[in-house]
This record gives sequence, C-alpha cells and structure tokens, in this order.
Amino acid sequence: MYFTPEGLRDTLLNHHRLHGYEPVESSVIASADLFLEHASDTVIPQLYTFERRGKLLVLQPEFTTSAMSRYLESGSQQPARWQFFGPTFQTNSALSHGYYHQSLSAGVELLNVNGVLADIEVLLMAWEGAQLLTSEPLTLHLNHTGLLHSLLQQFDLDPFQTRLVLTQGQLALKIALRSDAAHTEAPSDPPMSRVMLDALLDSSQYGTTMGGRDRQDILNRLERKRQRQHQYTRLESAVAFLSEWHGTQIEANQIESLSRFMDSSQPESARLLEEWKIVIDHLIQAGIQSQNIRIQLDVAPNWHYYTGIAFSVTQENHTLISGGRYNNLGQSIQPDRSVPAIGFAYFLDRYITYDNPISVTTVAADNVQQAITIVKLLRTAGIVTTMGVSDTSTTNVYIKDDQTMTLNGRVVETTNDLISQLKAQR
Amino acid sequence: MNRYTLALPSKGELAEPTEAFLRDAGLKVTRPNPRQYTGSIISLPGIDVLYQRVKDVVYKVSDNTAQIGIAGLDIVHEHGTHDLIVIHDQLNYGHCKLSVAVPEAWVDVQSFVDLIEVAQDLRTTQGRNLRIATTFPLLTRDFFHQQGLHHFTIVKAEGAIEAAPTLGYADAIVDLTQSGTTLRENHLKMLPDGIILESQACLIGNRSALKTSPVLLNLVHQLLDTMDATLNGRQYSQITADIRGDKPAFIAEMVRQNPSTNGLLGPTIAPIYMSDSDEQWHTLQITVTNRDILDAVNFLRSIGAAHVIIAPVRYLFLEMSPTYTSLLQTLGL
Repeated sequence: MYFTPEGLRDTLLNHHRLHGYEPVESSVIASADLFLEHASDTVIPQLYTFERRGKLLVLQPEFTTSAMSRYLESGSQQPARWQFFGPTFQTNSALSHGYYHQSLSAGVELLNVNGVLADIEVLLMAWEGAQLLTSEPLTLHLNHTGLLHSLLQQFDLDPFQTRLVLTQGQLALKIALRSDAAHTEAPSDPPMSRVMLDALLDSSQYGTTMGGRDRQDILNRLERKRQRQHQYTRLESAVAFLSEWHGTQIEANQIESLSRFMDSSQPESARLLEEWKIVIDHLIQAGIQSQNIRIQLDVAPNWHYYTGIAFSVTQENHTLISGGRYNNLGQSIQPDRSVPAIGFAYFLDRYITYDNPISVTTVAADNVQQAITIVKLLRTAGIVTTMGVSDTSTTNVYIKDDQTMTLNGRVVETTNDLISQLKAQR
Repeated sequence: MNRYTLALPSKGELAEPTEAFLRDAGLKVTRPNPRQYTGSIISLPGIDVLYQRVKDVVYKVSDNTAQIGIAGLDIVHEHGTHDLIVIHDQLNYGHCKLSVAVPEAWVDVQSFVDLIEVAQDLRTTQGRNLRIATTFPLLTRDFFHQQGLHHFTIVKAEGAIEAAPTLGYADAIVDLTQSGTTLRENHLKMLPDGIILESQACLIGNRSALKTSPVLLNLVHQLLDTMDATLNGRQYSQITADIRGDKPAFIAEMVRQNPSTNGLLGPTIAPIYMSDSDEQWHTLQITVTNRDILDAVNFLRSIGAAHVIIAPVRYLFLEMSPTYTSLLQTLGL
C-alpha cells in the first residue's frame, strides 16, 4: 500500500486524533546535547550535528526528546497526548529515502501518564496504525528495558559499569581486568594516599599541567579503579547473566518463565514482569494474535532513555514503528520533574509514492482567452486543471474556434455537461 | 582547458620535502623567484605550479582552481570534499600521527576508555563537558564518537595547542605529532589507543576534472609513472658481482637457491673476457630489496662471488603504474 505524503499525514493524524492526540509542531533544529545524552553508540554517528557560534546543534533525529522538552517548558502538570508529523534526520540509509538525508516520520507521545493501561493504549494504537499502512503481515517485537535494568541491580554496578556491560559486554571485563599496575596497587595494598600522589606530581614538572581536573579528581578515580579490581567477579557475573538473557527465546505466552532470572529478593523485578504479562495478555485479548508477538530480549534500543516496555512493529525485515516507555527522560532535562511517558515513531518513507496522485484536467483551445475562461470555471467547480500541458495521464479538454468542446476527443455540448462528466470521472 | 595546475605546499613541514621528492622524481620545480607563488616543471610542460598553504592546496583542488596537488592526508581528511580524491596516499614522506594527548599528571588515564570515564566524571562533578583543543574538529568528533565518547566540547584553536591544558582552556588535545617530543615538553602524553590517523604526504586531484579531461589524465599518468618508479626504486638496490665458473646456467641455478638473490625475475649473467688468465669468470647482475642486501652479499660470497658492487636504483618502472590503474578504477573509467 502506498500513500502520498498528504494522504499519509491525513490517515495517521486522523487515527491518532481518534485516540485524543493533538498535532504539535516541532523544531527541525535542536540543541544536540540532549540527543547525545540518550542516543546509542549506533545512532550517534548518524546524527547531523553542526556548530553555530560555539553551540552544538542537531537536525532532529526523532520527536521524543523535543516533545519532553516542550512539555517541561510548558510547566503543565496534566497528561498530554501529542502527535508529530514531519522530517527526521539520520544518515542511516535504511531509514532515509534515496539520496535524501531525511526521513518522513510521525511520532506519538503520551506524556505524564504511567501504568499498564497507558502502555496498552499506546501499543494498540501503534499496531492499528501500522495496519492502516500495510495489509502485509506484521510482527510486534517486545522487550522490557526496565525489567533488565532492575535485574542488573543485583550486581551493584555503578552507572559507568552498567552502561559498559549493556553496550560493550566483554569490554567491561577487560576494563575490570586492566590492572594499571604502575599506578594502582594490588587489591590487598592500602589505597594510594593523597601524600603519595602529591609526591608523585610534585616530583615532576608535569604536576602543573592538569587540564580542568585537580589532584582530588585524579585520586578519586584511582581509588575507583582500584576498587573495580575487586569487582571483577561481579562484572563477570553480570556479563554472564546478560549473555543468558540475550540468548533466551520464548513465546509471548511464556513470559512468566522469565521469573527464573529473579528470586524473592527482587520484588521490583517481579512486579515489572507481572505488569509485562498483563500488557501482553490484554494485547492478545484485543486481537493481536500470539504468533504475531515476538519477545525479543537481545535487541538494544537505539535510544537509552527507555525505562520500561520497548517495542517495534516490523513488516518482513523492515521496521515500521519503534517506541517504548521513557519515565526518566524528563528528569534528565529538568531534575526536579518526574514525567512518566510512553511513545513511538513511524518510519514512513517505505510507504510513500510520489507518482502523480492528482487527477488533472488539461484545457487547450485555439483561442488562449477561451482556455483561461474555461480553466477558471473548472477550478471554481473544484476540478484540478492545468492549461495547455497535457500527457497521457491527464484528461484532455479542447475548445475549438467555433466553441465546440471535446473531452478526450468526444464532443460535449455545454460547460455544465463538461463539469458533470469530469466530476463523474473522478 | 589546455594547461593544468599542480598546487604545492608553500610553507610548513611539507614544503621542503615536497620539493625534494619532486626533484628526486625528475620533476624539479623551477621557480623564478623564491617569493613568487608560481613555478613550472620542465619535464611536465602542460602543468603550472601554484604554491599555497597546505590547507589552501586542499581547497584549491576541491574547487578545481588547481586540478592536482600535494598535501598531508590529515588535512585532506579534515578539509576534503566529495570533489576531491586521493590519487596516491603513500608518497612516503611527511609522516606524522594525529593523536589524542592528555596531561601526564593524569596518572589514572592510560587508555581511551579511561578518558570516557573522565568525561563522565566531569559532567557529574563539574557539570561540563570534557574540552578538547584541536585544529581537526571533524576527525576528532568522528573518532571520539566511534570510540563511544559522546560528551565533549571542541575548543577550536590555531597553533600552540599543546599549551591549552596548561593554560586551562582545554583538558586534553588532539594534534599532529612526529616524535612526541613537543608533547613531552608540554607535559602531555599520547594515549596508545588514541591514534586517530597515521598521516603522510599524498597526491590529490579534482574528481570531475580528472573524469572529463583526457589531457589532464594523461599528465597525471606521467606523474604517477615517475612517482611510482621513484618510490619503487628507493626500495631496491642493484648488485653486480663477478663469480668464478664456466657454465652460466649452473651459476644461475646456484644464485637462485637463495630467495634474496633471486632478483625481480632472475639473475643476468654474462661472460668476462680476461686477458691475462685462462680462468673462466662471469658477471652477474640482480636487483634486490634494500633489506636483503647483506644477506644477498653473504650468500654470493659463499658461492664464490667477488668484487660485489651495490648501486642504488633510482627508478624502477613496472609494466604499469599500479596507482594509475587504481585511479582509473576510482574514477570508473
């Protein structure tokens, strides 16, 4: 199924409007910092960043971050249902259309609403939205970033280690193993004291070149590296856990089996798993067939702001929709605000056609003034009309010197007849 | 267009080595006056020479003011455009590295992963990004993102970049270094996994000019033939030696037993006509790589050779310039 950009916009705007989502404009150019904060290592090199007067800007790669910023700026405490439609910019050729550097996207954001019902509403809206775009079979892929993060808490990793374990896996182990023997002691030794570091730096002139760090910064980090050597076993367990988690393949109706990854000391993980199960059950009851839902634990989302269910809808191997819950994004922008939210984006380039979508009537006449008059009449009657330029795809009207009118070679008696016949053709 | 322009560096680290390289290649640039910015090459009469700052060499070739030029790979990667192609990326001089360097006092930073964590610390404790002083913002940005460091601020600077961490307007730097001496003098250390680019002089050209002008392409062919022959020649020496024996085929068989004396195809052997002796001697000639010279001499001695003469090879022309072949592929010709 293919749409004109306008047709696509109308279809999706209407679909989301029926769910209570109002259209909102977003700025194409935004400050890059927030996007860099939350983009995955895969996405960051694909961003269009540029500097202007010392400030790093980006062509918006998605709508979610802008939506949250805008919501926070509004100061609203009420739930908001917003939808966006427009270009997003990433160099990923899989998303961008031909040689263009932009993709046509639509975004839906449900802001300041938490809970299972909100998740179900958004997931169903995404699924039904995808069905409006294609009659081909679709698959709903589900993951739960929040559950994974909750399970990883048992390993007591710091944020740097958590990110390394999630994004780099084995590299995290290498870092833990790296002894930096020249500058850190064996675990059994006492930590390098401030006095020792001062002596080291004072004994050489390079103690004067510190960049923007001071001796305490360096000392703190040395101590952290030293402690990390103790944590090797913990990191090893985390990497092994992650490897098993990623390798787990289950059906949608087997979601409870993930409880084997937790014990009674992890009530939060158990709660998240229970909620996830409820969401899946309701999706199935609402008509999404179980075999069209795929639990996908091994896919890292492109954006690090997801804190709950993360999902995508695919047609064959093409991602049509991607989204998820992001309860901490608001706090990262405005630390004193907590704004639970969930949303998703469509990647629409695949469904657009630029073939001549409008039925065009072309008027030619022996007398130009006659042609202008008829063209005006037809346009007033709501018929798309051009003058003089015809091709095989257009409906051709010709007016001879003796006022005889023909429509595709057949004589038409009056202008009203002409308008009626043209409207009937449409 | 009947005449074409070769842009060369007028000053900086590449200026003199470029003149020397072209002179060695038999492409001596004649400059009527050292202060003049134009010159010519007698052996390439269709080419005018234009002297520019290295960065401007890249700009001039990109916008087709000059059709070919010599610059450093580092500048080409930083300032090049789609219209510019690297024709020869190993002219084998002007070697340097574009590297990440941090203060030596940062004893906790031994690798790039450490720098990633320092960048996170700075955001947490000081609420600011890691600041990198460099004249290579594009290459720096790409490399840092590839390595997983996403939060940093580029401090653009021209010259004396090594002083930035001492003066306090940057935390670390990305700069070109040859031996690392300047870094050490400024109490900085290179990160071993922080080498962004290994650079050297390269020959560049304007893509559309090369695609559309057979005359220019022919001139570049001549240039590459000579450059390749010069660079090849530098790797080889020619050995001439006298060897006792009456059967050339037998001598050849002995010489070829050692891979280092095998020559490019095999030894050339010719009889010596001695006036005062009945002994039978031959002269053999082989071309060997410079690193094999000692091994070759020792082996030749062991099989009875004497009077071993080693002479440098100035040019070694192969059947076809490999760089020209690869240029044609790049241009799709």
